[in-house]
Amino acid sequence: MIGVINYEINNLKSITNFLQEQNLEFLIVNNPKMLNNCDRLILPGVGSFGRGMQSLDRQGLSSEIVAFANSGKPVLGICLGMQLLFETSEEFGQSSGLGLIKGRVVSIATPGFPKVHMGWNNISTTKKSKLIKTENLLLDVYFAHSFHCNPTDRSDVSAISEFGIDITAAVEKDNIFGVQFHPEKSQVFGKKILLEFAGLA
Amino acid sequence: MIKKRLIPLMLSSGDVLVKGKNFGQHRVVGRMESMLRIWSDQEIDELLLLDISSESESNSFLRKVELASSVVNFPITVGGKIGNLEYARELLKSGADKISICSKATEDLSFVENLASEFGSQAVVIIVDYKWVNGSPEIYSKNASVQILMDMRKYLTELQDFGAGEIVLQNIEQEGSKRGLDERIVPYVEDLIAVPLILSGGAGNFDHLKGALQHESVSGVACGSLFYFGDNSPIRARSYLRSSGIAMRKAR
Repeated sequence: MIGVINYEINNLKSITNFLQEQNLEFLIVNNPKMLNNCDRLILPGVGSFGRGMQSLDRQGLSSEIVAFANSGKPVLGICLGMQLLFETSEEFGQSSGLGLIKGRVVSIATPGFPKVHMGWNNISTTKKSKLIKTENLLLDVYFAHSFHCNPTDRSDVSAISEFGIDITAAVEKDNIFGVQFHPEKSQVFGKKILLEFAGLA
Repeated sequence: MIKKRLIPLMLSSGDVLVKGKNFGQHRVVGRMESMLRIWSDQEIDELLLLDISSESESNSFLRKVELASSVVNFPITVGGKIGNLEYARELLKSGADKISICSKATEDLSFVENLASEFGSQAVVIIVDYKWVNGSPEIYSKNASVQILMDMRKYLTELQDFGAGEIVLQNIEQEGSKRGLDERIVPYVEDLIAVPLILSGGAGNFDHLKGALQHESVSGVACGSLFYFGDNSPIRARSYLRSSGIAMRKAR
């Protein structure tokens, strides 16, 4: 059973529509107890970092998600959900995240490039990934973000995308996964990534 | 490399979709669901769905957004009648990926800031309607009926300072004309645009799309007439653009 974290502000529809289409069992997680019924978790995107964490804290989910991850079960953060896996973010002032991956979430602003990375871009892998299969790398994926993750340990990065600087497109550390793009909006390639996640042992 | 986007524009009015000319003369062009299924198969890059119903039918629009999000697997920006955070939140919960505002931003820049701090800049799209008057682009609101006495460059700078994540420049006189997108606006604003810039209004053939997308600072084009009338499909548009050297995404 895939748990989809609800942080009250976000678009859950895209991801739940997708899971429904694929006939994957899921439940929308609003409180810590529901985590007991899940063997893997998705933290979906959309929203600002501070609001996202506030909502997790309010529902008593933050520490429980960390415990869930520490038990070795797979966790996938999408877009904002990926950023929340990190220690801190500088979006609208400093905020603390879940700290499952060491590092900071920083602005992507680079001279000569828009400060919002929006649209379809290709990615390249930087290590062998359980989710991202190299045969799909010719296809583009959909990004919509103005901050990106800067892991302390660069070996946590599994894919990058070029946008003036190397954007951290995906991270992977044992059972913890994060994708900055939206697989649920990225058609064929995205679908394969989510199916890989759903099938992880 | 980031790809250029083709963004069909859908105007939802009551139960049907319409397409206008210069912000009026609306013609019924079909129903949303069947249109979206076709575009889904043709892998458009994104959709801009605007509610222009005359009466306040926000509930039925929420249902439409919900339906749209269940039919398509590409990003959807929705707009129309967004006057408060609660309604914006409902739209996002109903399946929108981004929300767009137009008139409201001209009245209240702090609303742009509130949207950005609540949902993140990447979810906040501002549509700027304008007309060229005596050589300068003048901003309009309320469906092109009210002129806003504010300098375009100053307005665009402020929008970005307040957290706008994407700007759609919509030329009122080109809209529905099929005479081409307003490329004249690009050099006028590009030095101060630090977010993705979309041009809207006037795309009538693939060369118009190409002309607009050749500008480095233009991230995408929104178009209505082009895909509603005639036999032009997003697939054909994309392959034409790609063969003209424009970076378009690879979908399969």
